[in-house]
Amino acid sequence: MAEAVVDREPTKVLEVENLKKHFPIKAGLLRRQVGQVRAVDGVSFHVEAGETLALVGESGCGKTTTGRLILRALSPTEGTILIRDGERVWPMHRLTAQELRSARRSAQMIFQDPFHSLSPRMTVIDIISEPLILNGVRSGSTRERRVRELMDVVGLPQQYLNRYPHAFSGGQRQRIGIARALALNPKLIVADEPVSALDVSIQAQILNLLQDLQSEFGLSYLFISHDLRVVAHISTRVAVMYVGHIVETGVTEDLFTRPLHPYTEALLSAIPEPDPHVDSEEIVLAGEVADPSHPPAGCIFHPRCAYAKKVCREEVPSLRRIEGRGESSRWVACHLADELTLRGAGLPAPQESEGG
Amino acid sequence: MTEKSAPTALSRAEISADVLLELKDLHTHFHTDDGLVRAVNGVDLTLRRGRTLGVVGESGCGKTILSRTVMRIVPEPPASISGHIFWHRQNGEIVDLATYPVKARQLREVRGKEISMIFQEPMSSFSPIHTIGNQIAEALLVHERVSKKEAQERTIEMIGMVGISQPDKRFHAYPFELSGGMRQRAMIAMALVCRPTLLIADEPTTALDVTVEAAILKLIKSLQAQLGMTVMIITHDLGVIAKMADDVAVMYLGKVVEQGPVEAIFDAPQHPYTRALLKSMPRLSNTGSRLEAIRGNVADPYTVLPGCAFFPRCGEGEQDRCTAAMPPLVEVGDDHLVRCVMREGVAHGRGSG
Repeated sequence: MAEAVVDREPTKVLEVENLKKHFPIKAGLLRRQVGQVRAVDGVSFHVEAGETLALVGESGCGKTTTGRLILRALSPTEGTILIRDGERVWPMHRLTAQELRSARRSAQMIFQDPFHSLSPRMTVIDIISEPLILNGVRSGSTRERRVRELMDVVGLPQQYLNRYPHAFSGGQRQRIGIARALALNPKLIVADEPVSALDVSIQAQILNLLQDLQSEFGLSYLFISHDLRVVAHISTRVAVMYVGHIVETGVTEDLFTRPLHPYTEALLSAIPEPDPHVDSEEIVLAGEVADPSHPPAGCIFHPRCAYAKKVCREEVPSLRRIEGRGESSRWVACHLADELTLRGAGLPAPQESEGG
Repeated sequence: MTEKSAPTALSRAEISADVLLELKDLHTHFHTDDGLVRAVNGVDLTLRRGRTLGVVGESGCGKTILSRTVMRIVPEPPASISGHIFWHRQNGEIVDLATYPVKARQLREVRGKEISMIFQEPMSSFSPIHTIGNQIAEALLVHERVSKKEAQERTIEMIGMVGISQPDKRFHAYPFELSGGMRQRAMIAMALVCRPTLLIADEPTTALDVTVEAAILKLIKSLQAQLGMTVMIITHDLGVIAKMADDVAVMYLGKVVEQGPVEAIFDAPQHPYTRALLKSMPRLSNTGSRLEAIRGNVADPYTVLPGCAFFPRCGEGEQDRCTAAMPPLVEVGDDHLVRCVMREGVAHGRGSG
């Protein structure tokens, strides 16, 4: 099955199919399992070569867990993950620890917090050359040459080669993290909130750097973020997650101007645009985010959805394709997607909206 | 520079009726082992009654220390405060909060009662071992002569006002039983239970998800209208500023570099730093173009740069003029002040018209 998919889709750098991660809840003296947290509950998506897919959602929606599953920092409960690097296809979901080391040449990660993701006891050259050592680059001078090259690429002055992370600002540390991720020429980079900890002026530097590197090296990004302004800026396509499920995907512009899922609509309405003349009415969602250990029946979003009907409380909507909205195909998990006309970001409410 | 531009010389009688808080040449310096940190370094600001002042800037610009200095909750020592914090009380009395010793009765009367504050991290602002209700009621018991029963009734009313359902039940809830958004609402209830004249909100939504953030900002706005409060909101997010503020102060390295009405700041920003900050923000309306990053980093807090602190990162300055001395605040429009020598010519042009 997996091989057949591979042959059909040579441009897909990452394919995720029905990915699940359920964390057990244990209690009592014998630590018996009394339940499970469905952190990621059957997500499927892909990343095309050279594109940026943004995975967006609020805290606890499972976006970070998804990112970690893809690089096998966590092992999935179920599902397949394929990473394609030229001729090779890595079935990440079932690789052994040994095989993973080689597979991680093809996919690397950039983390949110540049203060905790770098060891304080290692110098810049140690940090950036670590993946080289792990992958058998034995010669010290080869490694140093590569590290200097990488420092140039990410805009770090080469004279900082022997400094420790504490001597750098947040933005520079994020550059070190990016250089480390690039060391083995990966095809795919999973960037988990890479600019959330940075000030806006520095954030812009790093976003520009990520875009430059993408066009220079043909990288593909899975860009995990809660910041929809950043996502609108950097991504080609967007997948919106809510409590372990993908509720909607689409090309960024289509999704932002014409959301198909009520949760996407609420998210977009809540973005504070830096313009005092924009006075959009935000949609305040009722209640709280569903508990992933006791998800509601039917659509996971229905208890908070202003449009919910009987069918939403009873049947789980599957992610289905919607044609004819925007230039490209859209996928949405909502029973009512065909009848609703939802409001896009920063735009006035559509006139026919009272029908909902 | 026009005569109008010296903020200390503003004709006081003219505006004093709606002035609530005046900061004059305010400094908060920290004496540390590594040197002197000038966190707040000469700030002049005026807050008018019923309005919302947004203070915006990046990490280390001094915005949080500024707000804590107004409340006099920065630890002294290592901090030392100089300058003036004129607080206009309801009864017409004007007190200078900067002059009292830290434990003065006068400060305790104002703090928590007339000025109160909400913080970024609601979890660490509550004690985990007392119920939400008792912690909110405590402010009333400390500041007002009320019975326990009355305190409880007013607390429950306040918990309801901030949009927490079943307030009489939630009175008995512990902080861990509430979600982040609910805790932030509870903290707002705690801050507002004594009906303060000024609410200082320090990054009130930074730790929250975007949908929760929208709800909290909406709540602050509606409570402000309901209770007639003045609000000072501290944030790094220009989106929050655009949504909330009537007036804006932009801070960079301990100084206000530009201040004015929110439309002026967003439509006609004058300081190169404000302009750069606005250009470096990703926007929904402008996704195709490349962001304009500000080059370099904020200078470390121990160094004192000659003249304008932003000059090393500025694209518009001229070495001689910018590094000669700290530029004064010049008026470039109605209530619109900017601290930049490159705008002095502009000031003359606008001032005459």
